[in-house]
Formats: sequence, structure tokens, C-alpha cells
Amino acid sequence: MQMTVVEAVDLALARALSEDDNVVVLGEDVGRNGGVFRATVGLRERFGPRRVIDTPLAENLIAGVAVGMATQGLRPVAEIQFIGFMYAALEHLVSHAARLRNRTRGRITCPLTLRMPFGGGIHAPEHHSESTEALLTHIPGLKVLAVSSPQTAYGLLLAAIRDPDPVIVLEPERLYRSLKAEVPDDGQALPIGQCLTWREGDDVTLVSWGAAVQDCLQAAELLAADNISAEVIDVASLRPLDMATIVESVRHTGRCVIVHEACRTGGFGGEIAAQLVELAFADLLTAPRRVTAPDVIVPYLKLEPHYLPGVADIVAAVSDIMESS
Amino acid sequence: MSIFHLPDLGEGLADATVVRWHVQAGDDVRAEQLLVSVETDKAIVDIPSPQSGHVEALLAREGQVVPTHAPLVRFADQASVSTDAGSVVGHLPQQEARLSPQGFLIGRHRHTEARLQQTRARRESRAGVAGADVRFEGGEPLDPMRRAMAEHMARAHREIVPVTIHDEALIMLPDVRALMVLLVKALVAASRAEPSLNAWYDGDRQYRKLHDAVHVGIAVDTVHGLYVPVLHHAEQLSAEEMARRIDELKQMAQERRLTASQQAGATLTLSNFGSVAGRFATPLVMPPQVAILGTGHLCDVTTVAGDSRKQLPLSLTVDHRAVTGGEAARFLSVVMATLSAG
Repeated sequence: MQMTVVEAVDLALARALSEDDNVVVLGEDVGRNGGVFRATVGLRERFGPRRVIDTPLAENLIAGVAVGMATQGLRPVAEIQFIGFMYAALEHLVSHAARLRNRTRGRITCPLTLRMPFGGGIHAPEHHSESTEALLTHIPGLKVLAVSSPQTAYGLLLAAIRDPDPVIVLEPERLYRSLKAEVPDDGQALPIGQCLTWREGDDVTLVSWGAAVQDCLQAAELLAADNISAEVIDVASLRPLDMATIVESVRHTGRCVIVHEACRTGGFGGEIAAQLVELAFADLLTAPRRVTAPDVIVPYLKLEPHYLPGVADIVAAVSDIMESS
Repeated sequence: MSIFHLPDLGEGLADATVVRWHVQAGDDVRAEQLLVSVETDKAIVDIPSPQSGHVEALLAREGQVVPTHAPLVRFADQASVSTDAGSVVGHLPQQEARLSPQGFLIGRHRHTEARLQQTRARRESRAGVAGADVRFEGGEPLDPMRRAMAEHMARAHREIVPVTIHDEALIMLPDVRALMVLLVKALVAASRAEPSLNAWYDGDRQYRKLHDAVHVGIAVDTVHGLYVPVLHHAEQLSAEEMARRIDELKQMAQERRLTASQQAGATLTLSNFGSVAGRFATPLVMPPQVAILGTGHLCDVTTVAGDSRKQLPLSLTVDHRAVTGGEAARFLSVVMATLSAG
């Protein structure tokens, strides 16, 4: 069936709730209201208020309750309405969820899933358009996945829920309803720790995640008209990171452009660039290039188009490195 | 006629102010076309049309505060149900694009031999190792037969670690046809004595498979190129059957009638290059096989004992990743003993 990203999330949640009685959905407005983006529509009606739980407006509480549930045999799927509101929840994620397995020598694990919309492009006010995924990828013990399409929304969310450890699933706001694709409700999870290659090419490797993957695909289409053949890799799993696929691709193309919506300094693109230089230095025809947002706070909607890296920026970066190498 | 009501813009906002209409009464609109911008507590929200149709009337003025679920637009046509996009803030773009249906490949999809070869060629040309200096004007592309040979041999040369040992067997020989049968028998006997040469090896996984059956690949030189038909289950065949099957396979190779299955599954290879000329060689092992026996040009010799025999030069190459030098030598000694015993 053709569906949007938000419908695919809803479908995966319904699948997980019906497959495993220990799965519980919780968050602000996820029950009666169906979720701020309508990603949990119909779940409370179908599975009842004990399994689809409306919480107070308190991210600290949501994360703490989720950790508690996870340690006691449940599989909570918590929603933070926007990644910009996760900072109050970080204490529980970093100090407890991520390290319970280690702390208890494997006696207690923490199979919680935390869904968070992230990224800009929806003309929202402050706090609602951030891409601070690098705060999470820095933490040992957390897994971080990023959705780029309806298919990966379904497959990655199921993988997260079934994983025995805490997994963060980032969902790009601007893609929620702007794409449709065929998503069979077959219960098939995608593997965690594997890149996804959306387009194969020979001249340059475009590496991205989240909504930027779709920008890279559009850029690849434009570049093809210029006889530049771009491979488009969706990292999908930022941590654990599948460098093998990226290295193999860059061995082939010799060039790499990394695209992310997060601001530049300390962004996850820097980690990929560093590893590329360590692992594939001899195969690089030119230094890896980053296309990112600038190092400023995400602006309001009028300046947002100037802030977000777009298709034109990707095409320009690729053209530039093709000329110089 | 149908009425479009101000949707719940999320989080149960009570109302919104109409900032600007983007359509007028009398307009024909498409589904998802921008209808009206309203202002909520937090932001301007653009509301798209829930349906295609004819706008009969706008039911609110610009600047007017409209309660959630109050009528906003009257359409002339039958309504379809509007999509509730949610979101307390911002505007979600609606289905601007569709994904390409082909989807994605998971993980290290490039790890196929063809792709790796392509990558290797690109890297070598980048490094200036190959490419420009071997290019020349004119010529023609290889036919499929020669292209397959080039690829197989390059792969064999790249992957295996070859060691070749040479020796000569003294044989009493009725005719050349009998020589092939004798050689196959010798390979079967040697495989029984030293099974590690009648084996396959996968270097990537470091897996070895020893075979009970002996499937002998027989290199056949033709005007079309090199073929290696396989004499399957040589260990079960009588000398007569062997001779007949070998003749058949050679004939089919000459006539280019070999099927794929007749050229697959060899566990050992035999190359009788000496029927033309040449005494010794360094034959190439074809992965996943680990051994190949080459036989050189026959010479007449007279032994000290005075009987007339022929001397058959032997060249045995093994893949030293999977076969030890001792195993290779023992294998060759059984081959020689079987040949000499006739």
C-alpha cells in the first residue's frame, strides 16, 4: 500500500503492539489526540489506554518512565514531540538507559525506543527544527537511527523496537507527508548498522541521512544531466555506523560529499570524514567535503531556506570537487 | 455541495485567525493547492485544499477569528474526506514528490566480483598503474569466449598462491587415447591417496571442501578457444566408459555444443598441452579447485633395463593456500606410480 512516512510509523507501531504484548507507546498526546504529527492515530482505540499512554508535558518524566518500564520487562516506545525538547530527557538516556547493561554486567538491559521528529523545513518556531543528533551519536550504549522515507520509517522503527538495547529513531519532519511509497506490512525490520544505497554511481559518493537523503537523490538527478554519476548512500544507522559500505563506495568513486542539516562544527559528518581519511586516504582523489547548515541557531521560517543545505548547495559542492580533482 | 471546516491544527487549539485567502469564490482548485493562511498562537499555518473542485464561497473574512471545526469554504462538488495532518506548529509539505519505486540496496552491495573488478580498474588507472600506456589504436573487442578466458585467468592469477612441481613418468603406452584414460585413472588413485588435492577452497571465508567424487576437468584446445568439459564421477567409470565419454566431450567442444552443466563442477583439472609441443609448464589452478596436472610432450627413451618406454613430463600446480608441499609431492608420486604400472 502507498503511504507517507507518518502513516508508515503508525503502521509499524500497530504491528509492534499487536506482535508483542510488552510493547507500550507513551508520550505527549500520543493517545486521544493521535500524536502531534498524527503518527499514533488509532492506536489507543485499538490497543487501549494501558498500552497507549498519554503523558504530562514533561520529557524528563517520559524518558525516566520509559527506562523504568524497559528494565522491568516492557518494551516502551516513547515519543518526544520534537528533538529540540529532548534535552530534559538526556539525563535518563545518557546516565541510565545507555549504561544499564554495562552497569549490571548484562543482568538488566534497557530495550526502549525513543522516537523524535527532527530537522527543519516546516516553517516552525524555535526549538522545533533542530538536528542535534550528534549529541546522541557521541554516547556509547545508544543506537541512533535516522528515517529517510516511508520504507525506512517502517523497517527501522521495527528494528529499534525489537532491539534489546536503547535505540533512538529520528524522523524528519519535512518528509512526514511529502513522500509516498509502497510499504508492505510484512513485519520485516531493516538491519541496524547497515547503510542503504538508494542510487549507484561512479564519480562521487553522496552520504547523508534523514530528509537530506531526498535532497541528495534530487541532486544526483540534476548531476546526471551534467554527466556526473553520483552514488547516494543513506547512512540510516548513525550508531553503530557502517563505514565498510561508505569506504567501499569511496574506493570506487574517489570522491565524497557528506550532507547534513545539523550545523557544521561537531556534526556527525565530521566523524564520517575523519574515518574516511583514516580508512581510505589513498583512494580519495580529493578531501571529503561537507555540505551542512552554518554554525548558528536554527532561524525562524523566513531565514530557514537560507539556513538549510539544499539541492543547489549539493550540486555546487559536487561540481566544485569534480573540477578540482 | 460540501463544506470544508477549519481542521484541528494540533494540540486542540481553539481557533485561528484568517490571514490571507489564496483562492476566491468561483475558482477551480486542485487537491493540495494552497487555500488559506491562518495564524495560530505560534505560527502562520498554510492550509491546502482537501479536494479538487469548484469554490462556491469563502465562509470567513481575512482577519476573522475562526473556531476550530467551523465552516471555512463551500465547494460545489461532493467532498472527499480531508487529511488531518496534525502539527501544532509549522506546515508539513504535502506529497510534493513520490519516491522512485526501485528502493535501496542494503549494506555492502558492491561486493560482487564484477563490481570489485571495476573498482580495481578505476583505482589502478587513478594510480597510473594501468590504462594509458597499454592503450593502442585499432583492434577489436574480444569475443565472449576469449573474454571469459581472460577474466578466469586473471582471477586465478590474482587469487591463488601457485606452486608447481615437475617430474617425469616412464610409461608403456599403446596410444594417445589410452593415455587420457590412464591419466584420469592416475588422478583418481592419487585423490584417494591424498584427498586434499581433490578439493575446493574459498579464500574469502577460508573454507575447504574435500570431495569423494572425482570430477576431472579436461582442457580442450579448439579453434574457437579453450574449453574445459568435465568428466563427472571418473571414480565410477570403467576404462571403456572413460574413453568413450572423453571422446564425446572433446567432440562436443570442437563443435561448440557443450552445455553449461558439462563444463561445471570440476574438482581437478587435466591439461594435456604436450600433445602439441612443450615439455614442462606452470599451469594455472582454477578457483575453487586447488590443483591442476599438466602433461608435456612424450619422448621415446630406452631404459637401463633395455625395454622401450616413453617418458611423460608432468607439471603439477597446487594452490599453496590450501595444499602443503608434502601433500602435492605425495599426490604426484601416486600419479607417477599409477602411470608407470600402466
